[in-house]
Amino acid sequence: MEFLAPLEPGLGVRVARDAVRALSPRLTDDRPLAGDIEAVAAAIRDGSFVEAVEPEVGGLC
Amino acid sequence: MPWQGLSTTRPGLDWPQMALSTAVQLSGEDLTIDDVWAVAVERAPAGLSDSARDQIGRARALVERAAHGMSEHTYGINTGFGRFVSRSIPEELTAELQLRLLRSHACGVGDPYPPEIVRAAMLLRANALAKGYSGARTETVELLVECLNGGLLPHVPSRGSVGASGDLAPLAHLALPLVGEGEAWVEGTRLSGAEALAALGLEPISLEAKEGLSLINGTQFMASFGALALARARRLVKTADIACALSLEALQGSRGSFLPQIHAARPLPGQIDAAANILRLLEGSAIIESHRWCDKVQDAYSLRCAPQVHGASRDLLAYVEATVSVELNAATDNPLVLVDDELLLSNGNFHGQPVAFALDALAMAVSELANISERRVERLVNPSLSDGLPAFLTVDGGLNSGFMIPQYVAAALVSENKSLCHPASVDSIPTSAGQEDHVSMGNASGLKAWQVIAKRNPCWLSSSWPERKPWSFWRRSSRASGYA
Repeated sequence: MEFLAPLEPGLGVRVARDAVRALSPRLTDDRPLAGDIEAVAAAIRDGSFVEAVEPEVGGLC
Repeated sequence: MPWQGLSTTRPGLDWPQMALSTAVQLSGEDLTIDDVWAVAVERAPAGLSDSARDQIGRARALVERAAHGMSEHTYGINTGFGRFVSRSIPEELTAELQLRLLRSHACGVGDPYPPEIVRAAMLLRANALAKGYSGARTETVELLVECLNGGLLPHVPSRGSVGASGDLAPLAHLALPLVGEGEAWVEGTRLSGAEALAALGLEPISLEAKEGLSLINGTQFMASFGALALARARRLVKTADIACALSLEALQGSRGSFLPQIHAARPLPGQIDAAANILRLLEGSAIIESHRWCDKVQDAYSLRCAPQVHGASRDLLAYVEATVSVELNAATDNPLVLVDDELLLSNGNFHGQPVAFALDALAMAVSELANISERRVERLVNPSLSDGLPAFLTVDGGLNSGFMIPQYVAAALVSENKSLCHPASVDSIPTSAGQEDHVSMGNASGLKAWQVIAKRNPCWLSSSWPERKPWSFWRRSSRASGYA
């Protein structure tokens, strides 16, 4: 997002992106990504990913 | 599979510390998918409602009358089982008949079911007995509930059910600890059934007429897969919409195909909901605004048709939910004890075909969400499809491989899902010397659906990840200008 400033995506997308980034830092040079994948997968599994987004945009259908 | 590699010790569920004061009351009438999740996963306690105790007592009285003093044959009370239905069992052996039923049917093989599936099956079996159509004694149902609440987890091999007469072999394994046999886990330690009961301070019961049959005739393992997989799938459909919105922004797609008037013209409920979600997530996007007047007329299907595809999965899951919700409160025993009619009737409610279809459909619904998500991942990493994003979303490509291999991972997962979506429910192999000449194979449907659900999360992740990345490469406002 830093490179895109001042352009931003929609609010819901912004919140979702930030939720992913909190678990998986930006990739610059290659690194093993298995741990990043598992961290985001866990957030999807336990519902916290969706729960991070919904308060900002209202409950999703 | 998540439950592989378990041997002498088995980690319990990751149960949150929660108040156990709110017991889920079992009546056989109103158990919900959320209740099953609460008890099976979050370890909420269960209890028998007063109405259930009354129903159980009335049904038991009818069984007692059939078992003692009546000359006519009643299946499973004074007869053998399956093809042995024509063999009479004398009254003095009616109890022994039930014990041997559990022993003979406990011949499942393979890895044990996931702990939450076993707990759900215990709950559903107790709920079915609470309905008062089976004729088990109150103390038998109570012991099952006490084992559930006390954390006794029967060791139940996951292979061996053909899904009619229900999940016979698994339910026999589930029931054996009640009589002090079989095996069970208590606090992560594998014990004999007798030791497990003792660890909870409980005494084994001696089965009486029909009780063994009442414990094992039914669809509870299939229904458990359905309930818990649905609870997870509900989260996944929302995540799919969010992932699509992320991809759409990154690929500088259009919001036009999500506008409500399009979906009002084809008013499928899931499609309308998915489109509304994605549109809402895109609200206020400066990225979309910046390329509103660009010359790209249509986006690829994986973006443009997301409401139709996600919506189809949503609608399919709604069908699954309707079927499973009925099954949670269904009497699937044979014979059924019809108290008001004072009848014990042979029937086929144990046949798992409705649940088997639903579980295969569930796997398909979830798998298709992954399929379309993987295509979006491909568009993000493929420089010939990504409208100017760098190949594999990496700087210094060549030295870095970037997000090249996560797409491989997503492809591998969705490919495996496709093989897991071959329907088990269209198969049938006759059993019991042809007496049971059509079965559902719904247990296989459940095992497959569970694997698809378990795999789905990483698929999404792969998509979530490149989806957040591309913005890093956009330095100008116009899509046409690409990245610098």
